[in-house]
Amino acid sequence: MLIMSRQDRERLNLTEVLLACDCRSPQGRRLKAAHRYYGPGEQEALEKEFLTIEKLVDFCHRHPKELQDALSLFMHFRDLRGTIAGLEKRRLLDVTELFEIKQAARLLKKLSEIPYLLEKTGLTIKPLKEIESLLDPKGQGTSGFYLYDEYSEKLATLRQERAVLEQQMEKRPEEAEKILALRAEIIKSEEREETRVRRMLCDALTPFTSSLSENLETVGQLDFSLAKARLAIHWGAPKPDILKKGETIILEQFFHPLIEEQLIMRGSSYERQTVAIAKGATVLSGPNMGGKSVTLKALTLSMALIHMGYFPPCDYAATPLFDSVSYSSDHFDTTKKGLSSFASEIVWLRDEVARQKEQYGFCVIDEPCRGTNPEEAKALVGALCRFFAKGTGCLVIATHYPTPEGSAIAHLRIRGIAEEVLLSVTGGTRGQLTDEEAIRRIESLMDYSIETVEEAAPIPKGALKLSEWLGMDRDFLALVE
Amino acid sequence: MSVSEPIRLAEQLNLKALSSIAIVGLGKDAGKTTVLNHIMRAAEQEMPKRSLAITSIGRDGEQEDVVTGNVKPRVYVKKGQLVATARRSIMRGDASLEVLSLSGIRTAEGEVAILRARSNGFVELAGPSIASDIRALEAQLRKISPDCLMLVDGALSRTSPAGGGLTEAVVLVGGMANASSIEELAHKIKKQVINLTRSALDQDLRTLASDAFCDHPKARALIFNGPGGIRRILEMPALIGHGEEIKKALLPDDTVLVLRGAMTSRVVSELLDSEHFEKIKLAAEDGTRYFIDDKTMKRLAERDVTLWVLHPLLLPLVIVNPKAEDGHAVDVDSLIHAVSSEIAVPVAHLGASGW
Repeated sequence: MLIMSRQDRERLNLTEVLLACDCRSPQGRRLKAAHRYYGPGEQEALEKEFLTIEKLVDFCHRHPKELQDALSLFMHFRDLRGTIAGLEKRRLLDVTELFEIKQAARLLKKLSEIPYLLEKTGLTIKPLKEIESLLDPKGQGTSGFYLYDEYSEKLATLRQERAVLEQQMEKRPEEAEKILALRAEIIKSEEREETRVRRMLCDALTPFTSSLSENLETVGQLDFSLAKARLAIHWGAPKPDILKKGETIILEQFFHPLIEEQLIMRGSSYERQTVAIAKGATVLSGPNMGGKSVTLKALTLSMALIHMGYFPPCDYAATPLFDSVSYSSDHFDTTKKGLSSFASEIVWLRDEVARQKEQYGFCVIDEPCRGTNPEEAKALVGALCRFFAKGTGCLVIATHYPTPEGSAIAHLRIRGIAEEVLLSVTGGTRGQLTDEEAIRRIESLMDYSIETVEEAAPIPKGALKLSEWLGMDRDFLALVE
Repeated sequence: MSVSEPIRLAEQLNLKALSSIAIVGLGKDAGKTTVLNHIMRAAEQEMPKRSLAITSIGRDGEQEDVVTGNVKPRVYVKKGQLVATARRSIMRGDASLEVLSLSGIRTAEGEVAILRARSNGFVELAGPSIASDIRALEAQLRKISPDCLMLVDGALSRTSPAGGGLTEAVVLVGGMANASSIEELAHKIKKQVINLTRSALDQDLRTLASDAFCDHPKARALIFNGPGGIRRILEMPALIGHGEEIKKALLPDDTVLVLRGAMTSRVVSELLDSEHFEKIKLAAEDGTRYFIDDKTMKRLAERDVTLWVLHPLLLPLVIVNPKAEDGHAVDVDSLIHAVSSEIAVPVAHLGASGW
């Protein structure tokens, strides 16, 4: 399961990112909204889903016309759960509900006939011929529906009698009142007969409710998987490899699609990253403005998406399946709940530690204990690393605090900006640069790639230089000891 | 002329040249539904091969008025005609209806279905109450029958559009049920005719305004400060209660203020508090959106504020109904004379009731 607060989910932009996964049918949208999580026990189901997406990616590439046909059909499906439940409870359906069932049967047939769509996806749609012929008694293939004369001779006769009266009424309007009274009698009989016909149709449809439901469920799966496939094409995302428990996670050239898009829109560039995360603790360090938080967001996003059955935004992904993917980035706005930021963070950590004792988890924390006094924060962060080093799961943290060394504690570093480069830039004058331009200048010189460092890296410095560059008051800076 | 004379009615309304027409009443029991039936019969005779599509703004055509409990005339459709009405209203009619599609447009009476009459019969109309939904519905109807004549049983209401701006033409129906005397009815009709026939702004401004409303669906007010263009676009949930914001946004050089929504006395009074609200053109979407009382109209005239519309309407006919609420009827000739002397639009009376 995904373990993250609503705020952290928002910070990860998970919902916004998934807006690009465009399901067209209500069945597909419902499956997407359910946010299914594939844990270690569901590897087979996930592999099957990934295979389906892979086949559908191929379908999208090879058969664009058929893809458009399928997408336009999905748009016409309707949520029939209420209607199907009504049939099962022997509720008398009205003509619009019978129309919806007819329409669903027609759409299912058309969908099943789209060439190549279902090939090798493991999904099957069984056309419901009995429903089609029941609701199209003349076999004309019409899309509309009404209570056809063919359902009842009596109904046909009554309608003819009524039509005769209506003709008389047009010819002899002076007798309209008398004719309307006669017509009203026929209408009553007609309504009784129509009710009987509707009952007959409902009874005849009831045996097919389960196959109708199953088919519509398949439509949802197909729509959702096809939406994932189109998203994978959009991101250039690959089918992830699922590894055994304890094996090292590999993400090559992973990125956060939304942040990348925003940066490109404002004329900046986004540097995709590659990382290997072994079991135990991984500590990510890097200078201020080095993109540690963005790295953790993108990393967590990919891991969450894999566990939700999506191809992740990267060039290659391989990971074991975890019982949980946890993410915590900020506890400073939890004071509204009546907890101090420290208490809130400790409660979150307490629960996470308890969970890691029971489960195989993947946990990401952006700057743990940042609001705590440095000595104790360092001790707590150290304990966190040692705790995960002893366990089976994975911890990834970004921190400015010194962290312990040891087996199963890896240190990664964002290369950042060489000190001499930083000095050469920040040593000069900003001239007419606005704040935003000054920040962009630094960003353009930053190397966001990740390197593995053999031991705890020296704590990156540069905060003071950057403060000066960003225009901090010189008298204030003179007070820095 | 009595509207029960179908050929003349078709000619008077120029039905052949219209793609859509709305029937709006001065108030309850004006005789709107009877007029709708008459126009349908006229269209059938005049254009037997052209299909008709009937819908309403909100609910109408039911057997009893849901508010007063009075028995109401019903809408009678002929085999082959298109009907757009809410799902729960379908069973309340007696025409055999084929469901052609479900529109996705929701109303209090359920989703609006598009149906084709497979027999003659009565129908209850319960269509969309939002302008954009009426437009969407018309697009769906035209997919089924591109050149159909769409007839909309409209309403003159502050909360919903009348069909004006949504349809090419409007027929105004006023009855003695809406006034205590012939003179009062004539005065009310005159006021409404002035509103319905207000002139349109210049085409350039109308295009700019339409584009702005399209790009900013939440926009309620557009302020122009010359022929050049729109100076401010104000987004707000409603006009009522937000006059202050519009008032503050106005500057001395502003030339045109376009408001989207019901232009009521209250909305206009709030604007009149602004010193900059003078010598300006005030425009509504169309003539059905004006609900300004005489006192406020006078204040507008004093400030040299003129009233305009974005979408001009054709008003080919005004129909008067001599029948009062209690069933007694006034003299038809006197009624027509009184109304005709107040307006330049042709006036007809509601003749023998259709079915």
